[in-house]
Amino acid sequence: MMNKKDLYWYLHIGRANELIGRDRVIYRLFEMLPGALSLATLWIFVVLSFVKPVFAAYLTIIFSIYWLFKTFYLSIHLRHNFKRMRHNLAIDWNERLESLKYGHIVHLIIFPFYQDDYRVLSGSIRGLLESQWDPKSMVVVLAAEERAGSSALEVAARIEREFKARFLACIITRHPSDVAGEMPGKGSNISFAAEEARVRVLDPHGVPYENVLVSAFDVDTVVYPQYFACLTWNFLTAEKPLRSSYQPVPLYNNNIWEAPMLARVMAYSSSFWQMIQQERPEKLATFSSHAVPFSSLYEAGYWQKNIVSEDSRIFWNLFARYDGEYEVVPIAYPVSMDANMAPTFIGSVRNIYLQHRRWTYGAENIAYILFVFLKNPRIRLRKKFRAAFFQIEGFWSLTTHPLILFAVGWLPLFIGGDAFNATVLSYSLPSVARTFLAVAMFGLVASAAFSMYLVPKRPPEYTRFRSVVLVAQWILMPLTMVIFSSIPGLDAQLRLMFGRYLGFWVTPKSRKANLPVPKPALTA
Amino acid sequence: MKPLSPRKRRIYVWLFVLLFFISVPLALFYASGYRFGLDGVLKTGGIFLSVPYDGATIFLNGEEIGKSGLLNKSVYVGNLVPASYEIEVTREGDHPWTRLLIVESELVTDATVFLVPHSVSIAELTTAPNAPTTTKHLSLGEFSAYLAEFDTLPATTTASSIGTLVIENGALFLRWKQKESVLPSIYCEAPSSCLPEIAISAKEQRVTNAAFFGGGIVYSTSSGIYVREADTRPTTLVIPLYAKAGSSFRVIDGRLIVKDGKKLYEILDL
Repeated sequence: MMNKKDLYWYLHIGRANELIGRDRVIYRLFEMLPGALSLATLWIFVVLSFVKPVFAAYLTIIFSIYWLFKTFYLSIHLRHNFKRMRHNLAIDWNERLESLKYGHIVHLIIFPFYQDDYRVLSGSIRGLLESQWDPKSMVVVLAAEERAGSSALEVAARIEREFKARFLACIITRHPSDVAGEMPGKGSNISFAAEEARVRVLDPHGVPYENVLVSAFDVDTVVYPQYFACLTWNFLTAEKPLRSSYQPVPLYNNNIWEAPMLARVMAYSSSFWQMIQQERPEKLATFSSHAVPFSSLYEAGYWQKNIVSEDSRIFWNLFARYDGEYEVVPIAYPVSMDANMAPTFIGSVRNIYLQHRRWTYGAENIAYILFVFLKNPRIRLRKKFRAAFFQIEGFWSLTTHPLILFAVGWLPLFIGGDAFNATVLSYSLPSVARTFLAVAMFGLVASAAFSMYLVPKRPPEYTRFRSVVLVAQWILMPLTMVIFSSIPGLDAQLRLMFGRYLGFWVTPKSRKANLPVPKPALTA
Repeated sequence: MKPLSPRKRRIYVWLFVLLFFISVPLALFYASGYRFGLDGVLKTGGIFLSVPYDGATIFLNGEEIGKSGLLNKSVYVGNLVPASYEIEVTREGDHPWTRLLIVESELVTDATVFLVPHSVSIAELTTAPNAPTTTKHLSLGEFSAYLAEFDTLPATTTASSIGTLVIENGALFLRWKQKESVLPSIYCEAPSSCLPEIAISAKEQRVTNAAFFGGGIVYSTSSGIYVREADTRPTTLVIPLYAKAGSSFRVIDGRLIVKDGKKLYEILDL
């Protein structure tokens, strides 16, 4: 039960059923909002296609035009972030730091893992050592799960044995299973790990919390050479360093050459989306691997342990905790992770679907944001309105727009009836809408060009044909948007709507080879 | 290097918002058939032609506009100002098909091409073994069963998706009986001018039997057996299939069977 005497008693609410009375009803309604909005939008299209197919056809054309200009608009952001990332990769951040005092900064790096392979985790640790940053200012936390069994602990012990001496500290934490009020998953694990690190490393070493930057990574996160230098520079020069989180660009390059086409398209789509968001900081929340000042994290009580989307929620926790005076600094510098793949094609499709359902389950933040905004009068109204609008619009458009453009929007042609089918509009709808969508595809062609710069050098075992496919793969985009964005998005929102809450799904890491740290093609 | 500046982003937003609001009305009017030229705004319509044959050449007002093929069984002609348009479809070995189609603004006039060979093949049905190749062999049982079909009187009404064939006082009509739905274009001289009945037979003819067959309507009169398109618009194709008085037909097992005296024939290529 929440202690309402605490000013921020609502900070770690996970679901409506953690509340009572009126608050519970309000939170439940907020949970239903994203699904209800998406369903209503699609429902209106279906009903209009039957009753007023002409209006439905007009709406489809209007959506196609909106999509075209939105693609252009977003492409400009993508292009700028691409340039910025290339620029940032070319800079010697250590040299830049020379004019600043940075020796006091400690990087606490958390690698949560479940039943992951030794080579995945050791690849990530080697990435730290190969980065141009003194490992003696790094604290590495190998955050194991008790429920993963002894083999996971053996992997951690081996890593600790091999690498401990290189870092300021390297500890293994063992997150206990079946803790009341916790959801098994990344959030509960890294929260436990962060507190363990505080007690076992920071306090004994006397490290002031405000000097510690926490990088909450995935087990497969491999840093690019100057990640820590770039992150430190951004931290030291930020307008509000302790009231900011720091977001790198997640690339999925670790296994990109061996990943199937679908996995590659989805991987780059995710990266591109994050690159676009980097240029729209007002819409940016933390995602996946991110960095956050330890002092803020500690004051906010770490990541939430009772939700799926802890990576983005931590931003909203901090936003609420500091009364809206908290932001994300997009550092436009990459980290590399694994593209989602499984040993079989069907397995990869399943994994991608489940991973995207987990990501789009971030719609659970909407209820949280709205509820927190109701309870926290200290956040300025304008900030509340903007944040709520951007989040609601984001999840609504993610789910509904691809379905409208590539499926529901064409319904008038099939169910519009004879009267509609006899109109010029019914014959023009496919060609007009298709023309706008085809022009929008230019945005995708540009994406294909960008993706080639982001891809690491082609390993010798792959032929040139695979490079060609890497560009041609973008033709799958309309399909992947529906199958791996809209449908899992709707799935996630309907689960929230009907109270069939999701648990945390651990993305299995599958690599064919023991990969070296990927070389950034951008700097080649 | 700094992130994209808020000022630049605002400029892009307003630029695209402006383009969006300019594009939307233009696209919606265009999709509805409006065309913009030096003469101002024109309201246009279109013609949609189904051509369920390969290798047919399509002409619009005497000008070739396309050919049908394996993957190309229809033609849409847009941007047509409201007027009458003559469509002709030809294919070697077939009667040319012509139609006068009236185009109205914002609407599409549609028609389905009906091609009939110049010479329809007729094969005699026989029970004799070793019969010549111009005949088709039937077992005695089949032959008797076919003959028996002619002993029963044909129906005076036959329904299909395009309407119901009705023989009234010797005259043949195609009628649309689904009052709630929109009339198919074959009932419409122009898209906005439709009547739920098409007179199929000529006034002087007395129709004894009628059936839907091979994309057209086959009917028999005292002077023979004919096939005609189901379409009210000129010029409708009427082709004699078996021009012999006293002959009758039945559609049996999807085959068009003609009885002439004691002999049975099958009309092929339709």
